[in-house]
Amino acid sequence: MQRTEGNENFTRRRRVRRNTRLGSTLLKVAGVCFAAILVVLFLNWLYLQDGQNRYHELDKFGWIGEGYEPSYLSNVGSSHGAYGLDYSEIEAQGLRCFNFALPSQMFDQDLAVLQQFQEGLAPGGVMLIPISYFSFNDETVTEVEREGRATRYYQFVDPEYIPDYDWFVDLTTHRMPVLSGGYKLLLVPSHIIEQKKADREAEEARLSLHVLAAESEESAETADAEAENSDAEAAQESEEPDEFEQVGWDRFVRHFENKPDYFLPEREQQLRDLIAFCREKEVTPVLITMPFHRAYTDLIHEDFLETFDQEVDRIAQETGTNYYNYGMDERFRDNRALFGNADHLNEEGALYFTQLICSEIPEIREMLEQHGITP
Amino acid sequence: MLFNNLTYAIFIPVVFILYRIVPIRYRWALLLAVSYWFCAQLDIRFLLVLFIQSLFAYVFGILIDTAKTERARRRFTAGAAAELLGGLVIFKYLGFFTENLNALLYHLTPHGENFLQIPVPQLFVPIGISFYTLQVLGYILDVSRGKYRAEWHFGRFLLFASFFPQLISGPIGRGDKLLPQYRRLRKPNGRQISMGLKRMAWGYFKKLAIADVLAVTVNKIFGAPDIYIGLIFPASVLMYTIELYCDFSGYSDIAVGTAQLFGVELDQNFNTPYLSQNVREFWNRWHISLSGWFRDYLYIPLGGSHYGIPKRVRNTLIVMLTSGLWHGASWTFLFWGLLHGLYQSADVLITRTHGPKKVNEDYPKPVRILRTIVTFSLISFAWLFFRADSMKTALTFMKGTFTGIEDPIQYLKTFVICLDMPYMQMVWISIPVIILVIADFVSFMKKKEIVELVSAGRPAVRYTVYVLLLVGILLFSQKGVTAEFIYSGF
Repeated sequence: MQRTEGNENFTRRRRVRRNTRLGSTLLKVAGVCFAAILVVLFLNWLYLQDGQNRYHELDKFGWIGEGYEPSYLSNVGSSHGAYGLDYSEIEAQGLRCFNFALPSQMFDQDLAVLQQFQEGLAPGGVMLIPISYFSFNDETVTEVEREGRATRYYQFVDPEYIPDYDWFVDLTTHRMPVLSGGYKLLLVPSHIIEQKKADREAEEARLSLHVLAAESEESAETADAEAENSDAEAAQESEEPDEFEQVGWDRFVRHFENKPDYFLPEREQQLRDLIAFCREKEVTPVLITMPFHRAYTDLIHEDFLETFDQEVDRIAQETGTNYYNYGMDERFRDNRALFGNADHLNEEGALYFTQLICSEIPEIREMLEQHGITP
Repeated sequence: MLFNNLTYAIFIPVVFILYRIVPIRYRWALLLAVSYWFCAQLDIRFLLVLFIQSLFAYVFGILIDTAKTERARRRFTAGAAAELLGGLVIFKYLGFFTENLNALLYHLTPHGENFLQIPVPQLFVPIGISFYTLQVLGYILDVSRGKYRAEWHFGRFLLFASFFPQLISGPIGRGDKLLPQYRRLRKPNGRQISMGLKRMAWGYFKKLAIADVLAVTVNKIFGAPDIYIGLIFPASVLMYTIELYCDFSGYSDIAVGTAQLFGVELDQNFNTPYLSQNVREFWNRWHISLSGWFRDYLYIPLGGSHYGIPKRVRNTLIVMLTSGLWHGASWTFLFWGLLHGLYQSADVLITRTHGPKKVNEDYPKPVRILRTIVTFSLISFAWLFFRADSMKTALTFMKGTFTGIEDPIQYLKTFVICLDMPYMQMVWISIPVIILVIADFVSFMKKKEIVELVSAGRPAVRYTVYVLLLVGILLFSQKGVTAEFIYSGF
């Protein structure tokens, strides 16, 4: 009897000891994990101190917040829309406009951005939906590039609107970007030192402003002269046919090579969803193809252009929207001065084109007239 | 589900808790159910093949064990071997053999007429079949030799053939070591859990922070060798040498570590292989469970190193060619095996014709270092054939390496252009590789596993290492990429 009790006690003691050992092991594991997370959080904080690790192209969305006046004339789209439309002259007349476009942005991402900022769309406004030749396929070429572009929406769009939302991507690119930062983490110290140095220099410059002010007129004249010279040189360089046309060729290759099944049905559906969303918000959608230079469009096969026009016309007809194709517009296609490269307008071209559509596209013209704005 | 899926991080704690709750007599059933579920997650057909192969091995094992005569025992052993290897051949090699037979028939028939073409079967290859086939075949041969008795408990035998940590890529276990453990599955003690987790962390570091990162560049270059020239070829082979080691030894560490969480001790599969001083030593340190299997069940039965040098060379070549074929049904694997066979044969011939046999320590230090470098170079060169999808690709690499070498500056510049990587990214990628090299050197010098060495260190040092290891996994790993383990394809 005593022996049995002794055995039971021994077994109990052994079990308690084993469980304590397991408990302390698990506690140590938790401690190590916690310490590792703290280190990563610190590195993440450090990483975010480096301004170069931010998505600067998204800065414009920071303006849309509480108290933001809704926009009457807006556009979505890729870089064609982002760089090809400039509403500054209309805004100067007091009407809020906004450019929602981002490089390589496709229809589903357009929709995500609009859903995120739906409060910023004024009923009765007009939404320009640029249709590029790659719009029914993809602007990006590689999967890595595609994923890279997709991650930027995690920075400013709510998860419910992000196409194919993945919490892991959210964690590693938005909440804890240091996890996907890779080698950029090594650059953080040098960037911070450079930034501090630049800040210090700016501060010193500010302190000796009165000295500089006296010299500024003289130096400004010199700088202007230098700038003019460099502009002239740049213009001359950009006029060299090979370079401009080479860029046109590169853009053509990027948009057309290795992309079979050019008209993907899911893209068409995304466009229809985008149009439907605009209607739901009482905004008039307008389909538009931006102007391109001959160095780009001449490379595209006629059959493709014909099919493209037919497809967009069909969608426009079925959705009851209007489509305006400026892709081959004679006012642009030979005028290199209006282009940054073969398929992107420059600042001057964007201003001119925006003015043009404000007077030529009835939907915009009428909306502007209602607000007493002369295009 | 693979070891590097996030679901595995949920799966393991759940199974661990269940394992602690379930009474000792049913633990085998839990592990078997979990192992079969693990396999079914990959493909339900894999599970079916695994079960059928295990069933045959179980029945043959008992028949061999209870055979009344030597003749019957031999017959049953041959039957089991034919069944197990037959399954492997059908699923893995039938397509390869048929394709090559067709090519032969095409050349033999007059005017290259192809009326004798045999349809090439398009069969799925069950994951892990090469590993569990060898494991159960080893069991059959051991029982046949009377090394230990057959396992009568069907469930435990099924677990022996399918234990999930080793199912996909080993280590290939032995019945005398594993079956007794499955008969009495104990709760793991604190040390086992601690060591298991550390081993897993080290394995994940190697896989995620090194292998998967190097794989991006390696795959790019091996995927389109025609657009590259020069130094990028040997550099990519070197990267693959490191990638493969980290991928497979990382897998093995995770497997061994996972098994330890359930109180099961699997054999170590790697022991600083790239610091070997000759190719034979390399095979004692690389994929140890496979080398051991071939040694015990093929090399020694063939006569081993007895009966003179010619037979030893013949046996070595047979073993290495079989090893090459085991890795994959392709001429590149066969050539890789042949190359290793030739390396070892040459080593046998050289050491036998130059005085008495020496061990590594007999050589002066500079010579040992030189031997290590030469061995590493030979092994890396052989990996070219292992990785290349065809002999043509391997030849492109060899020819392309020397293109432009006459102008060394331009040769280096071309390399940097081909690498297409910012300087800081090269530094970033190198950091974990340097950590690995240091760890392997320390482990080699101290003749102890790095995980054990760190565990024996002072608390401040070892906890700092653990924290930095986890931070390293988080920072250096490729995000959003779930690269399969290379050996899971074998």
